[in-house]
Amino acid sequence: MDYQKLAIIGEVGAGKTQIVQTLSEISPFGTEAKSTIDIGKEHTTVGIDYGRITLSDDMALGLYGVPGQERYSFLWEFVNQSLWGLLILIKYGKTPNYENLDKMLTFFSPEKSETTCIVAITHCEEGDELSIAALGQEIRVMLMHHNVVAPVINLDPRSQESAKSLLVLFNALNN
Amino acid sequence: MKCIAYFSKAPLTKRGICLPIGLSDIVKASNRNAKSKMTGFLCYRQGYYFQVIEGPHEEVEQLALKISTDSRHSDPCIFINQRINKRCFTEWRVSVFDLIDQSQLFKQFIKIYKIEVANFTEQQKLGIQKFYDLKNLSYSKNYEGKNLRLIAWPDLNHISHSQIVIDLCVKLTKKSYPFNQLLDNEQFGTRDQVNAVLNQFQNLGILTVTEPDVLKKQEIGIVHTKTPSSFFGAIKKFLGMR
Repeated sequence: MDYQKLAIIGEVGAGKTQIVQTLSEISPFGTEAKSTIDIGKEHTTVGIDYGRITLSDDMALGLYGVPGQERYSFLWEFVNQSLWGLLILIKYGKTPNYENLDKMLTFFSPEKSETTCIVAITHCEEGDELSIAALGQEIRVMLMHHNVVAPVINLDPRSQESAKSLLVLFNALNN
Repeated sequence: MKCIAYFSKAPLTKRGICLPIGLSDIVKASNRNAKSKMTGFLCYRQGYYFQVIEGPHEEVEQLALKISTDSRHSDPCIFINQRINKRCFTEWRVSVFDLIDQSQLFKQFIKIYKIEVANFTEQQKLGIQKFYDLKNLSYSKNYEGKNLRLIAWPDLNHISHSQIVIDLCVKLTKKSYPFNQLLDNEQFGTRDQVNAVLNQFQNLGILTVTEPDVLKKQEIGIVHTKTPSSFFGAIKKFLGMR
């Protein structure tokens, strides 16, 4: 069985659950639970969002949405094997936690492990072009610090087209 | 009216990375200047901010006070703080993209404030140089026999999404690649088309051009002749691309 993983990592509300749902041919298991802390979102993921794209009888791509907070880094360990790609989701509208992003990039070290990495900005509909581009610039500085050459794209996790374009880009970068 | 010009440092993260944290918020806030009577510009480059603000005396003073206490930057060095009769700029501009040539803005600034600039201290001159030196960089646009690689992807909001741009970005992401192999079978386009895109990347400062490494030649050859994996084909099939 050729089974590879796409790790989707990001902060609360960045759209991990949604992108797994959009991409997956099976519904994610019930990892949504009532949040005990008011984080402005009724449900938040306390485990892993899981989805799967069956490519053939013996080939599948697992989709794993994992929290971006460092306290969940034990879940990073779990997904950091047979990685086909690393998708980092950043929500527009709130300054990202760069300390976390720094730790995430140090942990996954996409440059050393030659893992294909894409950073996607979500909730772009809430911003103007210049502010979104400025956020992209902030992220790019962090990526360059880690020697990670990765596209920073705008993504609508609800959109099949947007999600498919993402897969196309991952596939091209992996080839 | 009044003009204030200063440069300052972007903050450091706990692990010592110089990062323009909150740049998008700063841009959002500075967009208010465009709607008010303020003119001038805000630039960011390599860990430094540079801002010129012109406008009504009181408003500029208030804004400068607010900026001086903003924790999103540090060590502000004000080198122009004076009454003016005439504005240097007709509008408010923002140019925060690290690797873009911003010399036009600075030429205009330096033309008007040439007396003040001439009296700058060495530290002040060095501060400006980070932004203005780009005009003196002359890149070699001859890629013949050289290896090429991206150090960052371009901002896809500000560059054409043409297939050749995306294809070349993809190709130059993971490993350096010999220029001549990019021309094989015109897989990316004609020589002129490839050159034009590479020049664009180089003007953005995201392309490294190096002499070929003899030891790595073999490795590059392997990359070039690599056959697509079955996973690649399966994903393409899944996406309905074949």
